[in-house]
Amino acid sequence: MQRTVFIIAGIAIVCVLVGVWVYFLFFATPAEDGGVFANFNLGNTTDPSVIIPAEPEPVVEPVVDVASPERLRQLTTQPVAGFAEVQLTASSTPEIRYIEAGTGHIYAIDLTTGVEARVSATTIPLTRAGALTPNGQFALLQSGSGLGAEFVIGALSPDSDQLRNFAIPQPITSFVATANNTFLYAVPEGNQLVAREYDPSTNTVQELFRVPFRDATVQWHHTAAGPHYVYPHTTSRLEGYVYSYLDGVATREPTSGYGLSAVGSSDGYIFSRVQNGEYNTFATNKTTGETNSAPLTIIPEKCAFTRTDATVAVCGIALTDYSHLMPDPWYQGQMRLDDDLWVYSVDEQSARLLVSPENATGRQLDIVHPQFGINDANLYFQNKVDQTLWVYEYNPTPTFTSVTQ
Amino acid sequence: MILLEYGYMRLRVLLVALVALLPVAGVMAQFDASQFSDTPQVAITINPTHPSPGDLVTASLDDYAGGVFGAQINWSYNGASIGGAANQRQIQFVAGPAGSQGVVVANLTLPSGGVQTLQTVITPVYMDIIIEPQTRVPEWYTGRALPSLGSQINATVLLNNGSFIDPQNVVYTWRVNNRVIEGGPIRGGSRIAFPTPRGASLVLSVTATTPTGDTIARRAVDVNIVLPELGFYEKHALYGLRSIPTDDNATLIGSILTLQAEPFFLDTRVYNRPDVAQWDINSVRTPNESDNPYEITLRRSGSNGRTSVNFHVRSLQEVLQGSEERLTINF
Repeated sequence: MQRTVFIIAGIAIVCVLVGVWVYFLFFATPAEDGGVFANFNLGNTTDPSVIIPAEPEPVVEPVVDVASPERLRQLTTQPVAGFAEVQLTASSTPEIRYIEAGTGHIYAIDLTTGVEARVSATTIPLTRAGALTPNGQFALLQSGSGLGAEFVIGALSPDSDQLRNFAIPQPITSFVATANNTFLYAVPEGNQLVAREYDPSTNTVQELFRVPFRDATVQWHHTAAGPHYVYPHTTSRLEGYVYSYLDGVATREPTSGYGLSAVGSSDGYIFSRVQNGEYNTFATNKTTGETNSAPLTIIPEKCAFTRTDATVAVCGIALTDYSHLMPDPWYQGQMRLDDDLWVYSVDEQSARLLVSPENATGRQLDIVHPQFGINDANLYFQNKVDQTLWVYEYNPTPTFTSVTQ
Repeated sequence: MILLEYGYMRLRVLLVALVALLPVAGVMAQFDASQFSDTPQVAITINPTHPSPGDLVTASLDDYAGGVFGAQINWSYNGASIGGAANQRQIQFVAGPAGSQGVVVANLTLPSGGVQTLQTVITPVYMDIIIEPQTRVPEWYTGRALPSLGSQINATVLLNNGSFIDPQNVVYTWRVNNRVIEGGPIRGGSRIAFPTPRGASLVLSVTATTPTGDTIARRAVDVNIVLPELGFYEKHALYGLRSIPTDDNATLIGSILTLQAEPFFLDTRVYNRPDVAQWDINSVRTPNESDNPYEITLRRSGSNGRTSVNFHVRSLQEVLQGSEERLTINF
């Protein structure tokens, strides 16, 4: 009797177990959160030897709306090698054209409608820098860098998206386009740096001036005559001096110092230097000959003088503490700045905030290559971090209020 | 006979005494007799002796003999009386523009009623010493290279008195740490090259004189000497080298990452022919597949993890000519 009961109970238990197994096999699939079997919960471990890969930061694609009513707008999401506001005919509406970095393709953006069109599909690989004439007919592009750099002059045609180009076999160190649709460029020759003007419409070259040393930075004027401001490459550890070249004649400006760089116009110039362990900015009015301390610290490369008033400049200015090693860390890319746009009057020694990009767009901008368009209506610049192109609708009749640092 | 010999002896003694005294008489003749006159010897000294335009210049009465004791002193600069400077032994003024002449006059009215006028002329000249170290910086770097031990420094001096002075009309004497280089003064030698000596800094000085020996200007600059630095920069196939350095703790998002080690301030000769240019991945020496010894391409292997990348560049002849840096890449 007992033996039979045990056998029946055993069979029943086996049947129940088989039933449970069949149920789990066919019906009890783990839910989607079932990381219980795969998640070893390494994130909570205190074992320092465990490698926890860093989560890549989500890439937020910036919103580009060139037809936005905002005065500050991002024009491109791709890196830009060069740009210019062009006016094809006297009656046509100005448009912004830019050279795409890497490909050398040239695009035009209608600032009213926001429509973008490719005007040159000719690929010039590794394009790093470029300039466009204001009439939109010619481009100068740099492909590659260092000893492998090549410089190409391209002619744009309204009937074709192909660039007719030819190379300039010279080791150009800097170049710009002028308001007169020519190109200015500098080439080292021997112990000197030679500045020349190239007119692509007549294919003629004219020597402008010679700098008696090689490692020179040239802040070009928008005309070939100048004044162009020249100084030895800037470093906080070596002394620099500023020279201006007007109609080919050199003038030693009464400015020198460590960490010295400058930007100027026909009426004055802004310069910064390290003095008594501090990086400070000054402005010289060439009409009066006076030099005064600026109310804000400015990296001059972030400034562009307006063309309608040569005493007024718009600058990207970060309200931060600058070290006595400036501007070297910024040049090396170790220091990123969160700039606001300020308008600064050399005449009145005053500054006014135009816009804070961070407040207006939520983006921090390290402003480089500021450049005014036709009649100073727009200020274009790039963000150093990603080389994207931005525009700010500039009001050419500012009123100034003093700012105390 | 004895008397005759005695006479000869006196003559010989007299001759010897004369010969012995001749050099002394010669030295005495070199003294300026005016130094022993009653006229007080006063002069104006200028500091700095060769000012640049816009420099603050101090003019002092050099009167060690006390000859102007009690004198009334009136100063003028370029004909204009300097206010508040009456009876001052020292005045300050700002040097004029390059190439201009500044005439400093001190009128001394002595207690005896005598009047003495002292005058000196300064001609401010810009003397710019431009240092161009021959060390490596990346092409995109807009700053200046800095000298590191053993590297070559090119220096150029520019004299400007309103326009650049032709260096062929000037004699230059260069000194590094107060030691004359180039063998001595050189006419037209406005450019020199010299190796960077040991130390944290060097003093480079130059004196410019006319061919007749008049000093035009002299100046010294302190030149900092640095150690080479190394940074890692991402190289994009399309855009080339980024100008923003890669973080020390970077994340590899794609499957391939090309890094370029960029030495700053490494002697260009060492950069072009490094004795050591070595990549280590996770402390294992890794042969470089690229033609460029400063470039390495990393490919993701496995699902995720972390790897350390180390680069070392160095000269074995000048061991301070080198740098080593490491970064970590998460993938």
